[in-house]
Amino acid sequence: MSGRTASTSDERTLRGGLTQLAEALREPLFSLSGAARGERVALRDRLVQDVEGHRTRLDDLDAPLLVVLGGVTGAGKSTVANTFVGAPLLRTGVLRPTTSIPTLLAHPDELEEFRGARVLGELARLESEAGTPPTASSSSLWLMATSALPQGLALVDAPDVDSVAVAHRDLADLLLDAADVWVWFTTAGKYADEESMRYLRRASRRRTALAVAITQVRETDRAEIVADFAGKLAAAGLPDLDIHVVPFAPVNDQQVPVSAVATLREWLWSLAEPRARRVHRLQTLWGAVAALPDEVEPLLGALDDELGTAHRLMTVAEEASVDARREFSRALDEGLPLQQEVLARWNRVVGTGRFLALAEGAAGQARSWIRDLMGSTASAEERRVEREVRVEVSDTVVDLVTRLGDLAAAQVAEGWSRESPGQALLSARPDLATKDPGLVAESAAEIEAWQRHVVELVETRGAERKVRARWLSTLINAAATGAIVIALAQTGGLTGAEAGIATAAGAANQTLLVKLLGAANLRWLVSASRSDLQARFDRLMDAERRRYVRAVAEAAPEPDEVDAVREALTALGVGEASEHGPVAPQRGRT
Amino acid sequence: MTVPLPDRLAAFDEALTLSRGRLSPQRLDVADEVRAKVGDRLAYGEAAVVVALAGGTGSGKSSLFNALAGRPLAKVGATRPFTREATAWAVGEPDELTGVLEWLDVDDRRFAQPGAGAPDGLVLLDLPDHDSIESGHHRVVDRLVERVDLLIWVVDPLKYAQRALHAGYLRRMVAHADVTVVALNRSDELTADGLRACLEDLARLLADEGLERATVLATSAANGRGIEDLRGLIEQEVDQRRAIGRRVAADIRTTARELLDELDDDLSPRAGASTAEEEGQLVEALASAAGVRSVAAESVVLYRGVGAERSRPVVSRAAWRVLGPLRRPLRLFRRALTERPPPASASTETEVGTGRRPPTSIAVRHALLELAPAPGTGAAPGRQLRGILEGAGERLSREVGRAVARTPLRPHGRLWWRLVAIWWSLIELAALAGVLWLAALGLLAYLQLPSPTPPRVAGELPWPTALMAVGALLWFVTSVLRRRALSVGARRHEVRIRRRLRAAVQAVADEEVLGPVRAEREVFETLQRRLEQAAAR
Repeated sequence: MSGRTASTSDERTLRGGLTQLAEALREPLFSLSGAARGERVALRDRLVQDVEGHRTRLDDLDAPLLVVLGGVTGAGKSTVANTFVGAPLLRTGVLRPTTSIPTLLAHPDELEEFRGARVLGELARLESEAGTPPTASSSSLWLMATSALPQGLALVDAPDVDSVAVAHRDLADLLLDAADVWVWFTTAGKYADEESMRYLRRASRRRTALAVAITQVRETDRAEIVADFAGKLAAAGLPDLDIHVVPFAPVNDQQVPVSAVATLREWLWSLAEPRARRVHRLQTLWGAVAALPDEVEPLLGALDDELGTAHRLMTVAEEASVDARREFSRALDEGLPLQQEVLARWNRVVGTGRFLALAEGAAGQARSWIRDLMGSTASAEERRVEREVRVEVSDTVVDLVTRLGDLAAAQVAEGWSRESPGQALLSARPDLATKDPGLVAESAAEIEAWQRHVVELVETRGAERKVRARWLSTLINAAATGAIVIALAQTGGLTGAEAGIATAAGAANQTLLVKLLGAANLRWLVSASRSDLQARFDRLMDAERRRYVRAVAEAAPEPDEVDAVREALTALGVGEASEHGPVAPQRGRT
Repeated sequence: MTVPLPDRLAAFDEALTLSRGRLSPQRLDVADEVRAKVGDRLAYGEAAVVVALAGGTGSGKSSLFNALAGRPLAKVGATRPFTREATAWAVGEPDELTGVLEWLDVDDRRFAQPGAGAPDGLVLLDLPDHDSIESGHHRVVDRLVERVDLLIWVVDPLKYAQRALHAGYLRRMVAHADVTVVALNRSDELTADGLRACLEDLARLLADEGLERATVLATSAANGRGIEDLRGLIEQEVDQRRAIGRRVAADIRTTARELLDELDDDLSPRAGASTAEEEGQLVEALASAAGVRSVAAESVVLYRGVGAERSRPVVSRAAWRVLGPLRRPLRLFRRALTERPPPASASTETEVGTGRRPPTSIAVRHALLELAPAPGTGAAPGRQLRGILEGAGERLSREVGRAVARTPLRPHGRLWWRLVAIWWSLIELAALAGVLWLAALGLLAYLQLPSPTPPRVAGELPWPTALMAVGALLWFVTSVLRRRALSVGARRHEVRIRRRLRAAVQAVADEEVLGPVRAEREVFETLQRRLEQAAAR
C-alpha cells in the first residue's frame, strides 16, 4: 500500500457504499415470487449479512485476524486445532459429523474482542471449561482462551460443509463469510469431492486469503496426490497455491504430532504480525467487494422477474375487466330479459291512455284529478306497477352485474393460478378468488342512481318542448320508466316468437313515449341513458380491477429498488462504471 | 409384497394410458421411461442378476469389487477420482449375459465361470463415483443406478454421513429399501468401539430417511472383514432371483406415488353445493337461452289452431272453405274498425313463473363456472374439468338451439276432436234439417200448396222447430264447451311440450358437458385406484 491517506479515503468511500448497499438490499420483500420466495429471501438475507460483515471488518482493520478452519467432515480440523494449541480442547471423534458447534480460540488477552457482537453477532456466545460437552443450540459460538496462540490471531473450528447435517453447512457458510483467512481442510480421499471444490472455487472468485491443507495422506501416495490436487486446484482457478500436507499419523490425546502440522502452523503464526494481518484482511475484503456485483446479480434478476410477474398478473385483471365491459355492452345491445308479465302490466297501464290525457293539458289533468277525487284507483295502480317495473329493472341489472363480476373474478383466478406467484397471492388473499362481496350493494346503488339520472334526462330534454311546463312529476316519472324499459328491453337477438311477444308488449309504451317526447328525443334519451348505464358499470368493474391491481402492486417490488441497489454498487466503485473495482493487494501466500 | 408383480404392472399400465393428456407431460415422460426400463429389464428375464457397487470417491468400491471377485480386476489408486468407467464381472456363459451387458452399456467386461463365491448369473458392477468434480461420472452412476437389481452403497467412515449420498440418492429410494445394501467399508481404520458407534449412527441415519429395511454391514477390503457376509448375501440374492422383481416393483411404486401426488385435488364444484343442483342450474340457463318458454307458448297457438280445425263440424267446415278467400279482407276490415293495438299478448300469460334470467350466454357461462372446481390448485383433474367446461357455452347454446328446433310442436290428432266433430256435425245437420224442413213448409205455404202437418214432439212442439231450436242451442253450447276443452288441452299440450323441450335440452347438456364431466371424474377415480394399486406396498 503506497500511502495511508489514499487508502483511508478509499476506506471511507467503501464504508459509505457498503452501508448504502446494505440498506438497498434490505428493501425487497419478494412477496411476488411464489415458490421461489424462500430461496430469494435467503439470498437477500445472506447478501445483507455479507455486506454488513464487510463493513464491520472495515471498521476495525487492526482487530485480531479471524482464521476459519473449514472443510469436509472428518478432515481433522478439530484435531489439527488441538495440535496447534497443544491441548485436547476440542472434541474429536469417529461419528460424522463430529463438530456441530463452532469454537473460537484466541489469546486470553484478546478473547474480550469476540465477546461482543462485532463479529458473528448472529451467534450466541458460550464459555466454559475446556472439554465440557456443548449442549446448547447449534447457532452458538464457543469461546475458549488459550495462551498457546499468539496475539492477533483467532482460530475458529468450523462445522463441516458436506454432511447430511444441513445446519452445519449453513453455520460454516456464516463463519466462512466472516473470516479474514480461510484454512481449507480436505483429505486424501475427499480432495476431488465436488462439494469441497465448490467452496474453493468461491474462494478463488472472491480472492479470499486462503491456505489449503490435505490430511491423512500416506507417504507412499504423497507425491502423486499432491500433484493431482494441485492440478485440480489450478482448474478451479487457484494455481500456485501451496498445499499443506498433513501426513497420516497416529492420533494421540486428540492431537497429531506437531511435526505433521509444522508448515501450516508456521504460516498461521506469521499472520499474527500487524502488517500481515492488515494485508490479508484487506485482500479478503477487497476481493469480496469486487465480487459483489456478480453476487447481487441474481437478486436483481429476481426483482426484474417480479416486476414482469406483476405486469402479467395486472394484465390478466385488465383483460378480465375489459371482457366484462364488452359482455355488458353486448347484453345491453341484445336487451335484458325483463320479466314479461311485469312489462305486460306496465303496457296495460300505459295503454289506458291516461298519461297521454295528462300530457294534453289542463283539461286532461282536471279529468284525471276529478277521477281520483271520485275514488278511482287508477293512479294508485299506476304507481304500483311503475314501482314494480323499477324494481324489476334494478333486480335484473344487479343480477347481471353480479354474474359478470363472478365471471371476471373466475377469469382472474384462472389466469393467476397459471403461475406460482399468482397462486401464492390467491392463497394469501382468498378474497381475490371471488368478486368483491360489496359489489351487489354497490351495483344496486348505481342502478338507483342511474334511474334517477334518467328522470333528470327526461326533465331536461322534455323542456325543449313547450309542453314541459305543464308536465306533472307523475308524467315525468312515467316517461322515464318507459324510457328505461325501452333502453333495456330491446328485442334484437331474441328468438322469433319471443321478439314478437316483446314487440307486442312494448308497442303501447313506445307509442306513448313517441307521442310525449318525439321520436328523435326518444332515440337520444335511450342512447344517453344506455351509455350512462355502461359508464356506471365500467366504474364498478374498474373498482373490481383496482382491487387486483392494488394487491399486485402491494406485493410487487418498487421499481426504484433495483436502481437503489445499482446506485449503491456504483457508489462502491464496483458497479457497471468500473469493470474490476479497486485494485486488491497481492494475494497472501506462504 | 401384497400386490403380485403382474397385477402391479397391469394397474400401472392402465394408469399410464389413462394419464395421457391428463397429467403433466414431464412426469409422464419420467413414468414412461421407468416403464420402458422395467419392460426391458423383465425382457432380459432371469438370466442375470445385476449387482452394483456404488459410492463416493475413495470409499473403496474397486477394492471391494476385487475382494468379492477374488482377483484384481479393477485398478485401485490413490488419486481421486480414480475409477472412470464402470467395470462388470459377469459369471456364466458370455453368450447369455451379453444381452444384459449391452443393455447396461458397460464396455469393460470380465467373464468368469461359476464356482464358489461366483454364483451363476451374477453381474457385478464397479461404478465410478457420484460425488467428485467429474460430472461425467455422476451421469454414468445415475444411469446404472436405475438399471441394476441390487444396489450396494459403499461408504467409508469419513463419508457415511455425506449429504451428496443421502440427499442425492438414498432419500428418493425409500421404496427400494429391500434391494439396498449399505456397506461401511474401510472398517479397518476404526477401533472396535468406533466401528460399533459408526454402524449405529449409520443405521439411525437410514432409519430417519425411511430406509430401515436396508441391510447395513461393515466391510474391509484390507483385512477381509464382512467380505464373506457380503458374498453370501449376493449369492443368496442371485440364487433366489428375487431382487429383480423387488427392484422392478420398487421402481413402479415410486413412480406411481409421484403420479398420485398430482391427483390430490378437490373435484367438487366451486359453489360447494351438490353437483345435481349445479347441473340443474345449467339446464335451466340453457332452456332459457333456447327460449323454451316462448317456443312452448307457440305450441299453444298451434294446438288451438289444429284442434279447432279437426273438431270442426262438416257443414261449418264446408262453409269455412267457401268463405276462406273472404277471411283476410274481413279481418282487415274489422281491425280498421276497432283501430286499437292488439291486447298485451294473451300468450304472455303462459309465461307466468318466469324466473329472472340474465342474457343467455352469460347465464350459461355462469352456470358452467359454478360447475367447475375452484381454480387455484392447478392440479390435473381440476385443470381437465375446467378445460371441458371452458368454451362449452357457445357450442351448448348452438346445439340446444338445434335440439329445440328439431322437437316437434304440432299435436297429433286427438280422439275427442273427432268425437266432437261427429257430435257437432250431427247437431249441425239436425239443426240444418229443421231449418230446411221449416223452409220447405214455408215454401209450400207460400205457394198455397197443401202442406203436411209436421209431427210434434211431446205433442206440443213441431219437430222441425224443435230440431232447429234445440240444434242451435246445442250448437252454441258445444261451441263454448269445445273452446274450453281446447284451452285445457292447449295448456296440457304446452306442459308436455315444455317437458319434451327440457328433456331435449337436458340431453344436449348431458352429451356436451355433463356426460364428459362425469366421465372425466370417473376416469380420475379409476386412475387414482390404479395408481394406488401400483403404489401399494
